[in-house]
Amino acid sequence: MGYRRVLRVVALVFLLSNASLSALSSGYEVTNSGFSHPQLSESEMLGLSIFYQRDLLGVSLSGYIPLTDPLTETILSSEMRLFVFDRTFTWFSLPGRYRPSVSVGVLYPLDTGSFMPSLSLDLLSVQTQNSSISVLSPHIFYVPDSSEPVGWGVSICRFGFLLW
Amino acid sequence: MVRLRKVLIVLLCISGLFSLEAAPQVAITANPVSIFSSSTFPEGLYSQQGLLLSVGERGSVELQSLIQWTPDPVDSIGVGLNGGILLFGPLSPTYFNMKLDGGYLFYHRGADQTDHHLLSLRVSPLVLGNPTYGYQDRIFTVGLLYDLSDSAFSVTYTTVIGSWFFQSR
Repeated sequence: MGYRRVLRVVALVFLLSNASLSALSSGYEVTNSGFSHPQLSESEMLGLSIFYQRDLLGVSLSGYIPLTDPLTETILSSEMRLFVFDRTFTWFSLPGRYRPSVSVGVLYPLDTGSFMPSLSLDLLSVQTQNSSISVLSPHIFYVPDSSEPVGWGVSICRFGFLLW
Repeated sequence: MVRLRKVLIVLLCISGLFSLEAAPQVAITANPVSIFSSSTFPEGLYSQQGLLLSVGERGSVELQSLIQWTPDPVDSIGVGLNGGILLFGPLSPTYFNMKLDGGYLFYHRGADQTDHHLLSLRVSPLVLGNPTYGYQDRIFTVGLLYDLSDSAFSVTYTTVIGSWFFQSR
């Protein structure tokens, strides 16, 4: 394949992805999470994510570090989020949307190098015009090749900022 | 117990310094709290939640609880009382503000079943919102906890302390 053809394919992929991403809402999220499993740090984990969403579907890519000892561990994560429903309400004349969701994804601690499938629930999740907040979201994950195959955790707070 | 009584009296006196002209506002508060370099608190994920009552134009009293969520849920818990003051203007109509608060925290550590008495001091350099908007967020709050039992300091940090008011002024 000549380099012109490769360039054409790259340009086409770039244009298509640009067009499809433009149709999505996107932003970033800051999360305070904790995990309970011997293979993961007991420290509070600070997560930073980018997310894309449209209607009732969303995807996110995240990185977590222990807040009190940042250089000791890193966990990468990818999630697909399904918003169960979307109900509008009003709080002090400010419009809001109650959007509980269920997510499936995978955790990847860089130290252990193993993929851990995860499931999480965002029951208390509210979105305003350009921000969102979820509190007390529990998650469970499967740890392969471990004496304790199931771990759990909780995100006590996740702030999302919708940029585009 | 005597020490606790003294702390409560001091807090009440501080509250009494504020003018009582304004009608009190009530809000629920919630936030994660990160605790650094601490011999008092074991590693884990903590949150604080409470009830805030405005006192006068700038003051507030806040009843708070502290809960450890991971790795052992509700293993360690605490309850405390804080008095606070807004430094740049009254609660309403000021939108941008700064807050200083301090108080007492009783903390039970589950790992070794010990009780701790702590003094707290927090500064929130940026406070956004007021009861008119229904919310007030304290941003980038840094705090200091002094364990009276162990004579040890802990540093706390919270990105956002959310307060949601029950009624608008």
